[in-house]
Amino acid sequence: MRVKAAVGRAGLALLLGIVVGGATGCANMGVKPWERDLLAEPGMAIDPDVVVTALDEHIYFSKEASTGGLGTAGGGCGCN
Amino acid sequence: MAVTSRKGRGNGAGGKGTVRAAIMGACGLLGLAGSRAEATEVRSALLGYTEPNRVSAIEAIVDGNHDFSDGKILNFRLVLDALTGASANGATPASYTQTFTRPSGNGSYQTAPGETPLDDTFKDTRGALSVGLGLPLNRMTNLNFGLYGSGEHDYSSLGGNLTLTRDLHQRNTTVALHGAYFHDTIFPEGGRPDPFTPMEPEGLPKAKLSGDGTKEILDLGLGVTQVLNRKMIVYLNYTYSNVTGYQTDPYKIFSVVDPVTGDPRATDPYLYESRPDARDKHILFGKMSWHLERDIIQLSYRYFMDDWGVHSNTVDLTYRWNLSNRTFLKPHLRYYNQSATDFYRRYLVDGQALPENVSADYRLGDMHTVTYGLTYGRKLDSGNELTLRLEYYAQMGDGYPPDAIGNLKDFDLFPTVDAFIMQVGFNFSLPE
Amino acid sequence: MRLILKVLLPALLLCACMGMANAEDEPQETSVPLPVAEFDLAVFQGQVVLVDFWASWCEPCRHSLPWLNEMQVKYQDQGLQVVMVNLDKNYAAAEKMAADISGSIVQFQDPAGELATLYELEGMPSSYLYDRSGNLVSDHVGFHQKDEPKLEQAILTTLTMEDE
Repeated sequence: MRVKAAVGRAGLALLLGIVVGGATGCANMGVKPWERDLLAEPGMAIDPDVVVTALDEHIYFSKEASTGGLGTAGGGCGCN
Repeated sequence: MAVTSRKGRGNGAGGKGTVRAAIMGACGLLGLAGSRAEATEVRSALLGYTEPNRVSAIEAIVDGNHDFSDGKILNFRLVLDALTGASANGATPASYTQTFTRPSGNGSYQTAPGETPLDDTFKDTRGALSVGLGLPLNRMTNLNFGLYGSGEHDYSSLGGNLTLTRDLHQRNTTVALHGAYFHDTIFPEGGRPDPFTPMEPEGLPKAKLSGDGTKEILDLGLGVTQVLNRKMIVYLNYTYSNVTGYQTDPYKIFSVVDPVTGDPRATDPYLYESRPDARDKHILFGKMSWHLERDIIQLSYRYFMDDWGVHSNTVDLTYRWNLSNRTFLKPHLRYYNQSATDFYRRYLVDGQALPENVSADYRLGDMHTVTYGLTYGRKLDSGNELTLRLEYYAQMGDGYPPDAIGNLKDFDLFPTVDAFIMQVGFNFSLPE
Repeated sequence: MRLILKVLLPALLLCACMGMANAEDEPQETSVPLPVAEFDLAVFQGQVVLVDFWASWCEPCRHSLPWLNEMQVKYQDQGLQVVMVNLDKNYAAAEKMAADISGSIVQFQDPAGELATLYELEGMPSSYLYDRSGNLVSDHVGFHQKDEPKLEQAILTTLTMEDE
């Protein structure tokens, strides 16, 4: 029970950090278009393997009470 | 000036240039002009899932993306799976052999004393197809339409989705708006049992609900991706999901036990479960990718909450260890916990009032799960990639609750369910 | 005779094409990229210049290479000079791809993004078209195959522009 609450609190703190970090000064954060070499790597994509995600989501959807949440993400090389 | 350090015959005489241009033009006609656009990337995989003594499944998936020369993208995905084996029917173990009727009504199966009742009737095959089209509205905006359909012997689903993405701040920020709608039809083997009616012995008709069950799902989501620096990117997504219609599991029962012995009561010991016909879900998901110059860490957290009483936390961590620029090893760790739905009861006691909804499906109970996995990936000379993934997944709950009555104190009411997963993947590009 | 024409000619053409694909057999070697400090448009006075910023990790940039080669070869006699500026932090990553660049194209290395910063690039790839007097005629962000005719038309128009 304590572990659950701790994980929950830590997780919400992480999310809050992301929201606050993202919302404040979003316009100034980031990199120049030519500095996306590392971000362009396939391993950096928020969903690096759509097939693994699809297969795992099906397993966890069948075995657990929670579903989904992934949505659509940006990132990558930012080209074009 | 510096221009003189150029090698080669760059400013060649007109003759050479003309012949070269002619050949290159002809090469273009023969489709040998080099890596132009219009590529098709295909990802495929075969997955085996097995819970020793319980369910086993095989799944095959093919996912293709075709880039058109104008920026439009066509996506296509086909999934086929076959399921076999036994899964818990919701009843509790007893101190004697129990007999249960198969969903069709023709046939029965037995459970030894002290064992968790498992129904091994199911052999099911499922197919699912989705098609999507991505249209760039302008350089920074994209609209994606998708259609989805799936079918198996007792269930079908049809749906569509729409996603609008907009890049901002030189693509350092991406905002995505997502909507999806699905219409599902449920037509179980043996028909839909009337909730709270008893499981009848084989050959005897069970009380049924008329017709097929239907369910409507509406999803709405909002996501933001933000590049933090050259090595870090974060993503946050909120989804609201509403499900209305038939959500009961037509194959699940619950035991009504004797208040003293804890064994199933004499008359009508097994009743069919009942779940609410409306469900509101809220999902908050965050993920971060962090490049460490050679390797990559990815960490995600999901918080889920619904009006059935479920609160869950999911933490997922992967470490992509790039052994070389062609091979990688990726350990994976996932931890999940959930609180039970309000209407979850491991069993009911004879004499207590029937709640409005009851389910003994362990997947709706208090539980936590852990997944440990490892993926190995290798890029072949052809540029194609081969992956091998092995995972161990365990679902755990409280098998010995302090308030267990009678003989139930001696039985494991939530045995750990172990599962082994193996996946082979092959990613390749189709020629022009 | 006709058989020879039907079979041999396409076969020869095929061989020639395969030869084109092999950088090592190329009679024209790719030029050595120059440090960005030496970048000076004044050198190309009188020519129409197409400056293209690219990097090895940029997928659309990969697709634009054959087209840039084609433009250089097709229009260099009319006075076109394609200039490619590579933005890889480590040029070694770009070498393999750069080997396919026509020897007539002038190349620069800008690992620290100095020139890119001066140009205030909005995206990758980015190209800038200059007329014979060194005036910026047009710029373009990104690369899609469907844009090729439009981009080629801009080059042709600039090449055939009357001098003021």
